[in-house]
Amino acid sequence: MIAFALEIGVGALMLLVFIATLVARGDDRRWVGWLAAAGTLALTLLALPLSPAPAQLGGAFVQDGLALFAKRLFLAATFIGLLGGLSLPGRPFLRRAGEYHILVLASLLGMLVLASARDLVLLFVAFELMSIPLYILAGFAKREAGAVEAALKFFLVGSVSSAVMAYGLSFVYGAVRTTSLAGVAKAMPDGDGLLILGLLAVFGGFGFKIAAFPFHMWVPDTYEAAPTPFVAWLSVTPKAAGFVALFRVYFEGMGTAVSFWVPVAAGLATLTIVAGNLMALPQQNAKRLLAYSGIAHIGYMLVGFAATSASGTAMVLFYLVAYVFGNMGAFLVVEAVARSEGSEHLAAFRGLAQRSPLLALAMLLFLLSLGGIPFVAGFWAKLYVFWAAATAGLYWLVLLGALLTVVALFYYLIVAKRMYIEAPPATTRVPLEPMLALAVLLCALGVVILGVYPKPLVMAALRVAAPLF
Amino acid sequence: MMARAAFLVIAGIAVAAALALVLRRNTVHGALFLVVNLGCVAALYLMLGAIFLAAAQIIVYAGAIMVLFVFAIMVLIPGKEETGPDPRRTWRLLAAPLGGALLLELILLVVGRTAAPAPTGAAPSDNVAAIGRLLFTDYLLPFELTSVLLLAAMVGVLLLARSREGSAEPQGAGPEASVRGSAKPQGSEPEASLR
Amino acid sequence: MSVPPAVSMFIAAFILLNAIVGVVTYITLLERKFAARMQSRIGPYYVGWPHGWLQPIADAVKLMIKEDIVPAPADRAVYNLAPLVFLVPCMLVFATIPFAPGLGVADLNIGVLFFLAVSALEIVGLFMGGWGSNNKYALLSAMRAVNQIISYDLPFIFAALVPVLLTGSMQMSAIVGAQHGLAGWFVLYPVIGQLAFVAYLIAALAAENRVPFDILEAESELIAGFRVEYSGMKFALIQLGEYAHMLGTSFLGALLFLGGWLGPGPAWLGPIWFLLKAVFVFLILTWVRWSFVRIRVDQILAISWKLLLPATVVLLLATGFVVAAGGGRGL
Repeated sequence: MIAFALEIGVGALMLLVFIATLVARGDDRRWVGWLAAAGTLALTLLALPLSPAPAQLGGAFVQDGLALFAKRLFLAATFIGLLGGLSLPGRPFLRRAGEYHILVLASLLGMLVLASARDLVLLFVAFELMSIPLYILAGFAKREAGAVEAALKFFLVGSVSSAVMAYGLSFVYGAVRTTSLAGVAKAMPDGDGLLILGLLAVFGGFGFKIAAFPFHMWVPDTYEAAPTPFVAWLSVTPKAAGFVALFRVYFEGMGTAVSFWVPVAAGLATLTIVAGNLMALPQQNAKRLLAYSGIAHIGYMLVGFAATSASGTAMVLFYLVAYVFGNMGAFLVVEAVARSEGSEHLAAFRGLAQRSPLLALAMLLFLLSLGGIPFVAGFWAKLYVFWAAATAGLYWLVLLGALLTVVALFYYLIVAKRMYIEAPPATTRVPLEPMLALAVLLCALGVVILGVYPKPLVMAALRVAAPLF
Repeated sequence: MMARAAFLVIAGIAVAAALALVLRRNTVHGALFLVVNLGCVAALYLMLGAIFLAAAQIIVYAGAIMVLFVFAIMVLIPGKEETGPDPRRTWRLLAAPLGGALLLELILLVVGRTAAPAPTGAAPSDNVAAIGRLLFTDYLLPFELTSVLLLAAMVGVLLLARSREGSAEPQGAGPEASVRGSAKPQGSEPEASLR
Repeated sequence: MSVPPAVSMFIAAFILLNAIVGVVTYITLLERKFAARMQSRIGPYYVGWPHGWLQPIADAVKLMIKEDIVPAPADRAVYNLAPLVFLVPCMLVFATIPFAPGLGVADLNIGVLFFLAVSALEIVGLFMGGWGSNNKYALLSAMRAVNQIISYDLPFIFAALVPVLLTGSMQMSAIVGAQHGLAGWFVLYPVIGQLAFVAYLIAALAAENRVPFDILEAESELIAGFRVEYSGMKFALIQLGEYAHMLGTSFLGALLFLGGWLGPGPAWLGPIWFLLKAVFVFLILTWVRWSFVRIRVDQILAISWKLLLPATVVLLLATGFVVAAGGGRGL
């Protein structure tokens, strides 16, 4: 039972929120959100002392180091995301707060199981449980222009990717006659064509979920139209869950057969880095900018994936943590500014440093982290990933990544320039809800601490990644 | 020999129905061809001895889900069952070589493959008790997760399909709003019931 | 001399099919006589002496020689196929019903599930007829049917699963086998049995689209519903399918709740008992039909989703508890 503690906890929390929503009266039901946030915090704290447990359900569910690492990350990120969304104004968030949190928790449950899934059936079900609430949440503010379009795009692309994935999984099953990932790993070295075709199709499905380049179409529109605190969460946690699942399916127990995935991952990484960064350049909307830059970050993580080594995997895990804090923080600042200025355009950030120096400083930290400047988390993340890729001999990929990092710095610094150099349109402070401020503060702390003292996390990541190979 | 012939006939019908589903402009005809296709798949399950699966396939897909499809088509496309010419036809034609390549690859892979041994430890396919036991032991977690998924989908459908919240929402009254409101359940209903 | 199983099965199916058609034809006469008696009329009287016993034959002949009309704007292929698509599942439901030990086409392990699966297909033919006619009344009727049938499918299945759960098997002969004894019939099972039987009857009425749930052929609003454009042989096929399905549901009800072929007397009386019980269930349904008024659409949906579905779910759960506590009649 102890192996399922977190999943049971999230499930129970979800049901509690469900019941609270049913009994709630009145128009302002945001207190339900406090319940969800407090519960998530409690579960995060509960997750910290947990230790790995033996595999359950005939090996389908495994609570190993990787799973625990990922689950702590998901829970912490969800807590920050919920904090940011607690004070959302607007009628749907007042009246439908319960539904919002039920869906977030359902998706979180899917992610938690996904991190532990070592069986194709469980993997697929967990993937769907993670994705379907996200489609609904993307259309949550359905009265607002574009929200339905965004949700529909997300839904259509997402369900096509699920179909591709299920199609691939059927080939995998046909080739190896078992749904256990251990069986798949055992059959992989034989180089069965059907198995490889199936795994490639599954890779395509994963590509949609983590929004790698040719599968990224939904990202900018969905991010732009959906509520920002939700997007902050959407832009990091499902991606992290996708990467953990990628490690499980393509690395765990494969032995030397992993080298097959190097060209696939390296090619995808190249495309994603180039396309993400170049498309981010002309963006004038802060959320679209972050959306495209997020695609580029997925590319960097794929570089670490392409290294197909324990250190590469560990570095991707570290990158994920850094990305969670940096990207969520940036989105939450965008939310704060947009709520005050009524616009997500980059012009809304003009002179932010004079109006709200602390908020501007936090944004600067996040941008620097995303850009990869020393002494914030993102720097180490990029450095480690490149180092792992170089160790694996992928020098050209490293070179390309480093080149495009400069491009990325350019567009991040444009935002910084707007905040610090341009004159503000007004001199009033940007009002900041306390909970949103707390969420931004947590992200900033994460970015700074990981930037100054990354060693413990790197060691932990190395420890959990080692058993995969 | 008999089984092989029967398989070829059923599989042929299934493929033909699937093609017709994709190629026909008339959405209702498409839905009916989908019923044929799903029925053929159920027949293939029967040939494999998976009687329970075949019956479940018919109840869930050919019965319930198709009914919802048809209902959505009738409600959402009143009097316009024919869809017009495809606006992105040339783009979509690019899919043909890709699909062709995949088909070729599959044929190359499948031809000359020897049948692998049957999976070990599989339950007798028509033994409901054995299937149930498996569902509540080894596959308990996916089974329970599916129920959470259905709950979330149900909450979502109510959230998105509810056309008006109270009455004090002026922008919810326009025809555009009602179109937008109704566009979503089409997406989420089949999704919800598919799982 | 032994007959290959495929041939013997074919012969069995052929005999069964004809028997069913015969019974169904006379079921209509029974219903008309029964309705007439309830309304203090006589009913069909003149064709065949005594009491118009040739009336069904006359009706059949009349329908067969009538002109076959296809409306000009109809979707011809769909319109013409609909009666067949409707009839086939209605006939197929009889495939797994054993009429006595060993007397049936196929006594599948999942017999009840097969019955439910096949009768779920009925809606496809119904929809094809309503849509293919290209007539607004027919289309409205088809939409109502779709609405109603998805609403009542689940309570029907849940109610039918109560005896299955008590028996621990979906095989029809096993379910009958579990009902031996004086109070063995599942309808006599304390509390659960009666509730399940009532739920079964209500859901069956709705699934058969009979009054009080006949909104899809409400004469005063929709003329004759989805079959308004049909005439001649096609109309006959639809009628035949409808009554066959009705009879099939009655047989299933008799089998699940009334002990099937079990009864006093020698074994060869079994099929007779079974037929009598099925006719009894049929008469209950007919009795309701001729006594109640039609319910509104929203009321029909509300009854299903707000009352019948939760009630049957709770019932099924309760049955589960009873079985877990050792109250089942498992093998």
